[in-house]
Amino acid sequence: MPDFRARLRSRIDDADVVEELAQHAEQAFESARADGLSEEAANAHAQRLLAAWCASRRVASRRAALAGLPQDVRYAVRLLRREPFYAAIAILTMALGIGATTTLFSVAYGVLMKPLPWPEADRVMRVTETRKGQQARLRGTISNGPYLAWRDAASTVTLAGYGVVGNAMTILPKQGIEPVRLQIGRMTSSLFDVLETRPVRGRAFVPDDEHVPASGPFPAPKVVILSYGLWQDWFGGRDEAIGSAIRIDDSLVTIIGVMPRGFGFPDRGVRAWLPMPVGPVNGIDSTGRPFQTMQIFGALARLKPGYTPAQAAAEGTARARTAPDPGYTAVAMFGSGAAPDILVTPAADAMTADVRPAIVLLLAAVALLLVTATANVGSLQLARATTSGRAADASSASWLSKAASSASRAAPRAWRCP
Amino acid sequence: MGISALERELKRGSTEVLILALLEQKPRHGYEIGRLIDERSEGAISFHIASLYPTLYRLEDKQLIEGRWVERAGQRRRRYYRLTPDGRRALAKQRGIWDQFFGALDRVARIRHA
Repeated sequence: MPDFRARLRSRIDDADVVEELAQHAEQAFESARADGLSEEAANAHAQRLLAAWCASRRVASRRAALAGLPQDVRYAVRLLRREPFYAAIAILTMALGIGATTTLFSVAYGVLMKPLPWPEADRVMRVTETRKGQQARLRGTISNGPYLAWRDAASTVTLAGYGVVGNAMTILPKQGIEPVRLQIGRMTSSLFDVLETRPVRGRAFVPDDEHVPASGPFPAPKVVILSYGLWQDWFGGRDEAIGSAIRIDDSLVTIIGVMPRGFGFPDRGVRAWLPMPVGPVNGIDSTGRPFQTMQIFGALARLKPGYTPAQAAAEGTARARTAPDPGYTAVAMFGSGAAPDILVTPAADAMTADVRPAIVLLLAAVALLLVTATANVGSLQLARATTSGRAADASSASWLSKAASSASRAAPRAWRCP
Repeated sequence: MGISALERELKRGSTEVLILALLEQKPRHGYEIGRLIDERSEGAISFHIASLYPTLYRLEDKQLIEGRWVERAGQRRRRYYRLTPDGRRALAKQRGIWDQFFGALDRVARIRHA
């Protein structure tokens, strides 16, 4: 018998359609032979059928119609109607897995992958001082000696320091607002350059705002910059805020600026900023006697164009080692009196270093949950398919036997045209 | 509508109703459907076998019939079609339309159907 399948396969993708049509052609061929036609004539008869089917667009596009989205949707709706309990379990399981994965991926993206909200944030570095490999008691910080030594002679970076005062009592005397506790930040004037951010109202800090006297204690701060939210809360966004005075603990300070909406540094909880003076290691007290001071604070640096973190770290270390030795204070703070080393790491990595392992672990766990959910639905589907396959065999058998018995009873129905 | 267009529409409509009617009795495969139409019309209906499968697939897409592969011991796998509940309703409706049509032909031109 001629091979009808080869011709069909060249025009039709769907293997089931090819099989069905080939079977029909084979039967047509056999029937023609039984009627006494020669093999050539019977083959020609079958080939005419194949040609007609192959020319049919509906037959040729059978797979597309079956595999298309509308067919899938119809199948899904049918399944949903027919087996709502099974469909509900499958949907719920997948929804749980997908929902958990999506939620945690959003968290991971927001914390680990989303760039920091500053221009060219990939050039912003966290600066850390270590001595013999040990960080200060407050991790991720630098002390005043190395900071000043590097800041005053830096060629690879612009350096800035910051800190958080904590919850200071703040009073707005003019409007009679109840005293509130706010988280206040401290920053050097250079931080505006490092973050490339400016106030939307008023001005930024200037070096004079962080003036350090030649002797005696640091003077009380005189100026403050408000966050956008605090400006809205207290002044309703009015410009009269600039120049107004507020009391922060015992200091009466003048509002000189308002930061842009969304600016929160070092975190979003900080509502206002005071200038941060950084004093030298060796000072003279108000009675004229020398003394040593060690300030510990956070520091950021913006890499100048063309420099790498490694180059900046080398320069920072070299400059830091020219700073005065704070003696036993260094031992107390770092657990070592060794010469300082400066580490320079991308700020985004440094800020998420503590939470990164936990989030990555959670992400992996949730991905595993999704895989488990998918596997569960798959197993459910497999079990169901196996069961329904057996049922289908039984139903096919009964379907056919019922059909056969009804056919024997049914009288042939003639359709005649007059 | 010209004669050929009318003929085409009639042929298309009648092919569908013929297939639905044959499947009303029991599930059948494509070759059997084609053979039965040929035999039972006794050559009076010029049924073009080329339109059989396109029509079957169209009816299946419209969910009037449902095809499934059935494998029985000692026989090769075959695709059988059976009528769906929608198909049963469509067949009843088509019969009504054809009855009305033949009734009208009879009243106007005295053309009777069997």
